[in-house]
Formats: sequence, C-alpha cells, structure tokens
Amino acid sequence: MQYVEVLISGVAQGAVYCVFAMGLSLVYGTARVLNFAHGSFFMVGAYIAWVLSDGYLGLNYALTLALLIPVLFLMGVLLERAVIRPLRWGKNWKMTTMMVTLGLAFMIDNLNLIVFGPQNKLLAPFFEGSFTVFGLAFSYQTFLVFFAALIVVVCLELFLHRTRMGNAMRAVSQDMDGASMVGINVNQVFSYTFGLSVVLAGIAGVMLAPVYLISPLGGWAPFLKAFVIVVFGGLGSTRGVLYAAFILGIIEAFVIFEVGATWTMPVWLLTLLVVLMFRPQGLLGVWAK
Amino acid sequence: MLEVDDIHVFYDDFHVLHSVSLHVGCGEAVGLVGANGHGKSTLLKAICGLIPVRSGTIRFDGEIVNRLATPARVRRGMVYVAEERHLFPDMTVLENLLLGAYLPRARKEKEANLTLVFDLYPKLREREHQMAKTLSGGEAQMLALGRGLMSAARFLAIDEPSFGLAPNLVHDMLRTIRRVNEMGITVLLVEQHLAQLGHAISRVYRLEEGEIVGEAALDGARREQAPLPSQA
Repeated sequence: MQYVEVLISGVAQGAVYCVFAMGLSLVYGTARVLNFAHGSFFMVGAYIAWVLSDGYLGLNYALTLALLIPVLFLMGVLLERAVIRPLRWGKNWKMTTMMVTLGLAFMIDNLNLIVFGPQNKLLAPFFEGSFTVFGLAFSYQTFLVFFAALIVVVCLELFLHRTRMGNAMRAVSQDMDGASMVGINVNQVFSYTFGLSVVLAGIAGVMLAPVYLISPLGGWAPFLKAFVIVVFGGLGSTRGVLYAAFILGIIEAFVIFEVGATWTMPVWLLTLLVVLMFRPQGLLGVWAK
Repeated sequence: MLEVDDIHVFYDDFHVLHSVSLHVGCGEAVGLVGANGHGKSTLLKAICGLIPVRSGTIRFDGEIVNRLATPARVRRGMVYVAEERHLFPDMTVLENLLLGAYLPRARKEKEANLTLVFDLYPKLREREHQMAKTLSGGEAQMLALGRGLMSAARFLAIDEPSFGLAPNLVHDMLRTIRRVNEMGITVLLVEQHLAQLGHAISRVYRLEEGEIVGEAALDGARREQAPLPSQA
C-alpha cells in the first residue's frame, strides 16, 4: 500500500514538472530559443507571489494569482521584445541568445539576492492538514497542487488547439515560413510564446514554493529537471513533455522512497540515456536527424 | 494589379535578380518559365515578401508593397503557394485549411472558401482528419493550393505546382488553376518548361540568369508550342 502513496505523489509531482517543462518546450519549439533563464522565472514567480501574499501585502491566493499572471506575461513579452528580438536572425543567433539568456539568469538570480537577501522565504501551504482514504494518507496541499497543475495543463492543451493564437503558435513551431504565408505575424507569436512560457514557469514556482523554499538560486534544480524532461519527451513536442513529466515524476518518487533524493538525477539521466539510445529524437520528438 | 519595376535581389553578396520588371493585370493568368537556379522562386519570394528587395519597387493595386512583411501582403490578398509547400505537418488537413483563413478578411469568407476548396478537391474532404505529413505529393500540392485559396487570395503566386507530380496529376492541377483563374483570381504561375503550363495561362515571361529575357502572349493555336523570343 505504501507504493500506491509513492505512485500518487509521483503523479502529483509529475503534473507540476509538466507545467514547468511545457514552458521551456514551448519557447524552444516555437521561438527557437533555449531559455536558460526559465528556472530564474520559476523563482521570480514564487518571490512575487510571496511579496503579494505572506511577505508584504497579505493578499489572498486568488488575488495573488490574478495579479501574478499578467505581470509574468508582460515580463516574458518584454524579455522577447527587448532582448531576444534584436538578436534574432543575426550571425549565430541561436548560440548568442542561449548565452544571453544564461547571462540574464545570473542577473535575475543576483537581483533576487540583492532585493530579498540570502535567507530562504517560505510560502505557507494553501491548505494545512491531510486526510486518509483506504488507509492512505494524503496532504491537502499535494492534492490541490496536483489538480491545479492538471487544470493548467488541460487549459494549455485547449489553448494550443482551440484558439487562434494557440494554433498560430503550433503553426510557427511546425513551419515558420508557412506561418508567414498564411498571414501569421511571427514576431507577435514569438512574444506571446515567451509571455506564456514565463507564466508557466512562475506558476510552477508558486505551486512548489510551499514544499521547496524560495531562494535566489532555487530555480536551477527544477530547470535542470525540466531540461531532462524536454529532451526525454522530444524537443518541441508538448505531448512528449506531458508523458515524460509523468514518467520521470513517478520514477523520482520511487527513487526518493527507496534510496533518497540525491539519486534522482543519476537515475533520470540514466533513463534518458537509455531512451536516447533507442530514440535519439526523444519519445515524440518532431525533429529527428 | 501587380507591377514589378526594376528590382534587384541579393542572397548575401550574391546578386540573384538583375533589374527584373514584369506586370500582371487584374484577372490575368501569367506564366514565368526558366531553368532551375535562374531565380524564379527568388522572384516569387521577393514578390510575396519572404526575401527583401535591395532596389526597385513592387506595386500591388498601385500601392508600393516592398517594405511590407509577408503577413501584410497576405492581408492585401497576395498569397504565395510554395514549391516546398510549407504545410503544417503535424496538423490535420482541415486544420491546415482553417489556418489559411487566419486573417480577419479571410475569416469572414471561411465557410464559403472551405466549400470551394472541397468542391475543387473532393480528395481533401476525404482526408479531412488526416495529418498533413501523411499526404502523398499530389495531395500535399492540393492542400497547399487549397490553403492559399482559404486566405481569400486575390493574387496567387504559384511556384512549380507540378513538382513531384505524376503527369496525369499535372493535367488535373492545371485545370484547377484555370478554374481558379476563371473565378477572378489573378495568377502568376512558375514552371521550368512552357509545356508544363498548358492552357492555364495567357501570357508568359522567360527568366534566365536572373533577368527577364522574353515575353510572349499565347493565344489559341500558339499555346501548344509557343517559341519564346529568347530561345532563338
């Protein structure tokens, strides 16, 4: 019975990873940028939520989210307009933008250090306590986060398939020239994709903040995990990310239960290695070769 | 409708098009022939804004459009159907067609244009829910042209539609293009050989080494075997 608990906590964790890694995958697939600052935005989201709720303003969680999402979206759009777009299509622009986002990550992390100090911050759980079903104990927090993450993932899928902008994002990721040829403003799609990606990173940060602590460098571990998930699922494939996040989330839960959290990354990387040996493009990668 | 005046186009430092001028009247169907690598595709891409022109002007309905990005030209009804097709591989046939009607002007005519496309190509209706990447060459070509029509095109620049098609399919394709033209859509059709243009056009330009070297009107009997001035 213990294993069922482990499995469920793995699925819950996988859902949050999915939210976070989708953002990374979306920006890579659509805007063609590997965003090293993705983990920093994870923490930015958590810090802003902390300021809005427990830290200073004392707003409730609904209001916090209502303010947080547009702020994160604007940050992403601004990042694309001010930093990425001027570099796009220049010589070696893919490498350049990668380096620039890495620099940006250090800037954001250190800004967080200056503004918030090195002490960890804690976001109180949305719900305290736990409940028991069939002799299994679950915390309310785990369940809330799981459902919230699931709702975000479902909304994202609906957005990508049912809305004009979502379809435009998929079109740009599949054939950029084709997208221009039907009249899609590719630059606008890049901006919105960055906005959406930063929102996803920030929301994931808020979801995990009650479990992990908020610290200036706290985004790097999730970033590395998201990177493994995205490569595992197949670069540029949102469906692949979905499967990979849950598979790796469950693997992680069992590894933590059996041998301890330090072994998560070695086991993940080993799994990745095995998958890449048989499927170099990842589970559902679109860009083989 | 379309006036290209003295344009020069470069790939980096390589001068591809030298002082190219041509015009296509409203409702006309004009051909452009020339061997591979002589700049036909480059010219179409320049007309539709996928490649910048260094000098000269491109006018559409009298308006200078050189500096406009591709989507802005699509909004004016200039639509490019590429030789490489540029379909969205992981979307269904229907999704590809609906994305053709992305811009507001085309969205208004979405239903009517979809009926039109399915009427021209019943095969696409059969394949409606199939992924674009699973289509055969002929079907992909249909979808590319169909997507162009969904954009409420007033001017269609079609690049080597016969590329990769079996001869009998080329014939059908030309007949469709002619029907499209008869509906009032202006067409600029690019092929390697005049023979591939069949009856679909009324006038033809020849492009050689990045220059227009000849122009001929094709009427009735001359259409079959028109000798182009430059070949002499």
